Amino acid sequence: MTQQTATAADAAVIDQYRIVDEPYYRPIGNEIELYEAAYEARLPMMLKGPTGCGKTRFIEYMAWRLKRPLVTLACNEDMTASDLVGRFLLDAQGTRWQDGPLTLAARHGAICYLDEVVEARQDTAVVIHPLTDARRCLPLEKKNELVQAHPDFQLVISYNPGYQSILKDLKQSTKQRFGALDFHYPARDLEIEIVAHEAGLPAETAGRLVTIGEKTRNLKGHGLEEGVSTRMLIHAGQLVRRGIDPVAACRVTLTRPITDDPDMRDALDAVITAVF
Amino acid sequence: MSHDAALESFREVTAGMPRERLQVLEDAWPLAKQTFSAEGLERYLRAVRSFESIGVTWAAIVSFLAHAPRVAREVGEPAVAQLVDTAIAVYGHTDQAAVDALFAAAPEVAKRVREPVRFARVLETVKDVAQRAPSGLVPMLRHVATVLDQLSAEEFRTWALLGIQAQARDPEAQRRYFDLSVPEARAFLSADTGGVMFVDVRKRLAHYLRALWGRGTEMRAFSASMQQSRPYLTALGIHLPDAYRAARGEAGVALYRAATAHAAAHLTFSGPPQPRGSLKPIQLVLAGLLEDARVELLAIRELPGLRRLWLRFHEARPGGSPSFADLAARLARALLDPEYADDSPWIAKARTLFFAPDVDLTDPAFVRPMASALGNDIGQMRLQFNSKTWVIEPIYRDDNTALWEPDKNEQGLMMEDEEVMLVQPELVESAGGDTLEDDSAEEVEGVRPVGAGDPETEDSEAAAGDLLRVVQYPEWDYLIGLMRPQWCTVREQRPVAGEPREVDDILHRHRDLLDRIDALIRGNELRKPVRMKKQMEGDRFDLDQVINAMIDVRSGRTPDPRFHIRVDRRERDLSVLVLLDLSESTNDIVQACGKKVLHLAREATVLLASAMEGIGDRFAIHGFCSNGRHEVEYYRFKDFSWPFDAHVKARLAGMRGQLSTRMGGALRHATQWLRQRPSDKRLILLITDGEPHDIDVHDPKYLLLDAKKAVEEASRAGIFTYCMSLDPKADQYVSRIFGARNYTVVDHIDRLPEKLPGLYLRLTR
Repeated sequence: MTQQTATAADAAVIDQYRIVDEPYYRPIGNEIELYEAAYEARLPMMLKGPTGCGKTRFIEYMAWRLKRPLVTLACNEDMTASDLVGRFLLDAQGTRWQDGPLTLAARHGAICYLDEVVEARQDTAVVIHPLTDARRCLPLEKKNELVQAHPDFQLVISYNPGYQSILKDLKQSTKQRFGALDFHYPARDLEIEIVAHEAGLPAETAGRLVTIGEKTRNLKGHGLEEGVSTRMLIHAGQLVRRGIDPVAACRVTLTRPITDDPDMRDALDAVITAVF
Repeated sequence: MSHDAALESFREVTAGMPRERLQVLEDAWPLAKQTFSAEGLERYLRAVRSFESIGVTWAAIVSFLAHAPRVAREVGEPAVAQLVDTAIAVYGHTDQAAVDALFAAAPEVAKRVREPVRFARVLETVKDVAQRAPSGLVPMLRHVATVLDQLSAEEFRTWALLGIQAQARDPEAQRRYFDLSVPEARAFLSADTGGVMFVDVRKRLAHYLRALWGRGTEMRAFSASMQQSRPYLTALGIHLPDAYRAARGEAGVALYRAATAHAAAHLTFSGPPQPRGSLKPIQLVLAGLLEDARVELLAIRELPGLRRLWLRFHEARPGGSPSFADLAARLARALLDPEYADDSPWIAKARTLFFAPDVDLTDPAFVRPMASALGNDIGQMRLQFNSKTWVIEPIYRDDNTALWEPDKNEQGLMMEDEEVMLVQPELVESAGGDTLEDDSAEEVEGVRPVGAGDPETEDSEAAAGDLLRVVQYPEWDYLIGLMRPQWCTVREQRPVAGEPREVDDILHRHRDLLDRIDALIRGNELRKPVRMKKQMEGDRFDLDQVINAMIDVRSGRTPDPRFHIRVDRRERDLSVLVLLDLSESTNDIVQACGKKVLHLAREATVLLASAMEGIGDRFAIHGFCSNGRHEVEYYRFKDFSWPFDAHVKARLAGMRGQLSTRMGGALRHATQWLRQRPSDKRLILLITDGEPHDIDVHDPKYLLLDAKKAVEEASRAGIFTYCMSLDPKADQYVSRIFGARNYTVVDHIDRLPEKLPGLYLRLTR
């Protein structure tokens, strides 16, 4: 086993992470411009905002626009540093090193996107530190190798400050390494445009769905932890386009998933019938 | 029951009982022995002792002895415990006769309801009646069997609550209602009603209102009568009837919803009250009708589904009797329903005027001249109109008094109405038995040596006086931008002990909730096993580590011997300090449930405490109030090292609300206590019902910013602060103090006890 063959195989591996077709993304403000500048400076970025407001779509779009491969990793609390960095595997010939997603991205100049990074254990999150400051390197302790990040490599994390437990938060030392872009649900007209495009609906129906979204967001903190997201509205729209009655579609995709409280469910159902 | 328990084996319970009483027990014993388990038998006997101790007559006790086994046979043994509780509560509010009647009625009730849950529901209703309509209790118990023949337990409750509400403050009327000697009481029984009650839909309506209109407007119930059967709007909020008796099930809910949506449309689109000017009563009515249509159509522009909701209550049809009331109802429908056809030329004219292209719905100016014109037409048609008997149709619409400036003639009436509303809470307070009970309990407790068994070490020094500790803290003055040194004095005091039974009562009453919490804890990840990797010992290999070890072996290095996986409980090292605001305002009565804010907070704390016990978190319960900067009173009801035992419960039961809320000083003191805890995570959970205020501070920003500073200090010490606010208007200031996501506002205080433990679990997950 030589270093070259492994790298050559990996180089082919990275191509599968390229985004070929343009993902639909509707800019809300100047976030594209800001992100491009941040990428030029290879500044690590943090995308903040409630669930389903377009963070992941944005990073896909940017990766496509910048023509970089995008390595996405959804973090969870069982994740260990090896899951990020890589590990030795056993095969017929003996042991073989397998790069983890982070190493893969760093070696080949991809954008590495760690989704919901707070879910990862704090000690795991720390392995990204050397990549996010001036060193731009990743020590592979087990392999005794220091990977210098490819010049095109950038690290992006997403972070939803609202919903998780207070005892779970990013360390200051992690937070302070990142630039941050705030995402919110788009303004009414934009949201209608997005829902109409993604669900393939006329603007009028999309407008009603967005009205429902706005109304439920009034209840945030008063019985709902979070209002209905743009993503949920798109789901509802997709059912409507398939000929489902809008009220039934909204029940399936909006009220039933978002709450278990019968009173709240009833009130939300009434909101839907008031709009349709 | 296979056990062979002789009465003698319960000698310690029966000790000291007179011979003739023992004889009665002996007589009742065979039946009891067949019915109860050993535990049940002991409870059965203990109930007798507790009745004796509170002074229930022997005749009533004999009745209990005879009837309790029959109850147990029908609805199970736990029901007897509930019966005993209820009897004690009933005795507290009424007299011997009521207790007697309760025991006599219990087997009949059990036979009819047949299910423990429903039996409990009936007992709950009995307690409510005892508390709020004591004079009606005995008649009610006399008729309970008849009533339950016709109503379910749930309907029985509705019936009783209607009686309590309709006849509030008139004991004689209450007695008549429950004696079934007034037609209303019987009407409910004979007709197969079961209308929808406001209390049952209040929460959904509040969500509905907030969602659709972004409003947290208060909703209140009034007891509907002939004089006032329609909703009305005042500065206090939306007033809805306490029940819509005619509409059942879904239709009733829809009616409440229609009324709420209509009221909200007024609040959103109708301007301030207008002077009546020279408008005649009939023109006022028509102006109201046009305004109703205007705001509804504006609302429908945004929410088209509302048209459907409202239209189902418009039942007017063409060709009725030619009266004004009929025409008005038809006009109301004609303006809302584009498909409605009517042959009246007057309605056709009104429609043409109203939907003319130059009419701008957003500008209410057109309403007044149009109403005068239409009103004149009615005059020429010689139709009768009596403003005294006029009732607006359809049923969901409010009476439109809020549209007009008060008329001098009606002002008196309005004032009276307001007064009734404002006075009521006080009445409840002085009539409610629990305040009195509190006081007497404290007196009794004060005589006993409180220190016995107290794990608190300061007890010896405390014996000298009630003051345990005095600490001075700095305070932040935002005007000078500096901390004022030694500015605020926190005086730690011994809490007054109350009757621990009160707290046990709370636990008892919420058994279902406790079970749910228990299930939640068990189901939650809190105790979920965690796989610990890289362990020296364990029941499985950690493959990653085994591979590493093999690599090391082959490359000639010493392998790491930690290559096992062990399944372990998750580490949870958490100290929580629950800090209660005990200011005067916590004595306010919460309308929805008739309890004090303080009592709800205590209930919530007790439930939370049992949840924390269940999880095994270490926690303390402290409280504070203030009287100027020199006297911030601080109480420790429970400390981290104390068990949650009778002693702590007594202290919680003795909790009282007084004085003001100087949050900063109390938070700093709580921080000091938590600082000494070695835990990983430390949390202050503040439960408050208002913003910081104190008698010697007149600038509202001062204490607010000082509290914010105190929270920041705590956070620097690694202590997290979370606020649970019971003030519905708290959004404006709590986020400033605690930060954007470190607080929750509880809209429905009466739900606090069930909310708090859940919040805690979520918070510390």
